[in-house]
Amino acid sequence: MSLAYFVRRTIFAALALAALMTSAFILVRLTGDPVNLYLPVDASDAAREAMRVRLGLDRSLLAQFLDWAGDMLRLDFGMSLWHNRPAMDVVLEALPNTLALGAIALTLAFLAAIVAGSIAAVNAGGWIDRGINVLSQAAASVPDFWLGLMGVLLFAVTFRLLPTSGFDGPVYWVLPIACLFARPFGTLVQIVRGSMIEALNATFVRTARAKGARGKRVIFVHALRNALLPAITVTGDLAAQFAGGGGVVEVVFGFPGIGKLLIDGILKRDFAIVQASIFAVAVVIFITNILVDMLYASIDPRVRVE
Amino acid sequence: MALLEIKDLQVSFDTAAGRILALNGVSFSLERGEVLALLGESGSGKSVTAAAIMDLIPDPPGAINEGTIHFDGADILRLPQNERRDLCGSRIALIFQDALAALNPVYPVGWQIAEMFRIHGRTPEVGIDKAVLDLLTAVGIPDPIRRARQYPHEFSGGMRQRIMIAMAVALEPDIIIADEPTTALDVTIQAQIIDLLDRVRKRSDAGMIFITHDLGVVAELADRVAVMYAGRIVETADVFELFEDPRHPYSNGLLASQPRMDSEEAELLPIPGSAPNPAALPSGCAFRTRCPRSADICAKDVPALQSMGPGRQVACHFPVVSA
Repeated sequence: MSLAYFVRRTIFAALALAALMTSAFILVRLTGDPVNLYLPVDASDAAREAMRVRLGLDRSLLAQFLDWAGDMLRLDFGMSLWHNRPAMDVVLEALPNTLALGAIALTLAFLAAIVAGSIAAVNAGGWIDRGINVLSQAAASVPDFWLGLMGVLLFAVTFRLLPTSGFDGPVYWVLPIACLFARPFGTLVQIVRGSMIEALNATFVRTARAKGARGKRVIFVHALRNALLPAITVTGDLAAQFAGGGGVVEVVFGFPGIGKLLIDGILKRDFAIVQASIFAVAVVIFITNILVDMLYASIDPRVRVE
Repeated sequence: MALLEIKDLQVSFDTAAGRILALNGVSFSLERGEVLALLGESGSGKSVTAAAIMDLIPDPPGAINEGTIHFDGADILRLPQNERRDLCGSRIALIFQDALAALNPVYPVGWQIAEMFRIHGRTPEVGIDKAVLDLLTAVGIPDPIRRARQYPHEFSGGMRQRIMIAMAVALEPDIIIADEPTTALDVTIQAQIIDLLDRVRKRSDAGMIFITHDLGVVAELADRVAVMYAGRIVETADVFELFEDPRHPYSNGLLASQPRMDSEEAELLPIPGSAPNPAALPSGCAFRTRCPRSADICAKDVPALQSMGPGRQVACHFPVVSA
């Protein structure tokens, strides 16, 4: 992966980011006026006007935009209305939680899916395959908010094994991870199973057998590495989704991640937080995509970029 | 006893259309250092024969129902799985038709050749890396140090087939099975590959089963020919005898349908009809529906492979006898 390639990717990403941030700027201002939300209903017009002036909301949209664009170029995301701190500071506190949560859930899902998908493929058509198929279809289709609520009901309320919500040690991670694990696991099992069956029937696997390779070597050295390629592509897409935070799951479990921050920010008309969150997520997605491309190239020599 | 002796091999596949017999009593033998061409149309069972020898019949849906494959004195169909697998690659090697599909796309070619040594736990005196480079040189790949690190997609079709050949001869096998190794290549490259195969084969005095439907290649390379039709061997003969004096009507028809440099006859005579559907073979002799010599008995009795002179066997009730 050459430097020129990296530079070209970065320029495209920067253009996409500028377009994204501009739409974010417009969209948040369509959600309503923060002044009405923050001041008491009976606040005087003078007080309202004073707050508008303080926030710069009294000026024309174009003037606000130019001001904002200048701040953006200096990576100044402004103050959070609600937290009364620089918005990016708040975002950077939440972001690691989301990244850790997503990375753990996705890594577990990826590894478990490789094992389950390979077992299903090797036993294709048998009852083990059918069992894994039903399980993965269910995991891929169950809505995560439902899974979250059921998890809380069962493990927190009935058995009292896990906390319902909050953020105070490893035990608070269990249910969110379990909820985020399900969908990627189910999807990836299907992908791995399909690509593994294809790989096991490929001529190069026949070659490996004709060379005298035993079963394990055929499956793990020859078939699996080829079968992983589509799974890595899909995992990359899932990782990009997770970078935005497991929105609903974070809200259900009161998990202080970027998804919850973003939703709260929208509800509280905290423009700075919303814009800073979107910016941070976009950068994470950009980096994730590059990492996936590099990983893919390291596994499949055919896509290596000269 | 011959190096390889196959007797009455029967292989079936269960398909949606019912059970089909891919091989229906195949018998032939191969001596050390001999080149036997397995000649026949697609679907006649040539590749299935190779797969049966290499333990590559997918089971299910495939199954070897009957027969024996004696290699070096032992029936390999009755060997334990691991011993059978150990023979593959080290003593019997297979070369596929399409080298691009047959090489693993995600490993360098040098690694794939070296794997031959690793699988069988052999370390050549010069070391595996040097042995790989020597093999690449032997099959005519220039700049082997650089090429060994490259991947299959970085080679041309002819070069890929050379790599398959290097892999096949790495452990100096007793038998090389080449399954239409030149079909996917340009004509000019075909001749080079056939030359190369013959040269590397002679180095270790390996026997070779050359699977093909190309009579020209047969004439160039083979010592003996076994002609297959609908899952059976219908004729085996010395290559010159077959070309001069084909006895089975199918062999006769094959030769008459090919242009020949040494013949005055300008007209080519195609075999009427087409190869039968393996799920619905005619009763008796499978060739009888296309055969100019067929009679009532052909529909009743399957003709057995019978000796007609030294090294020659024909399965026909009314063999062609040249004037």
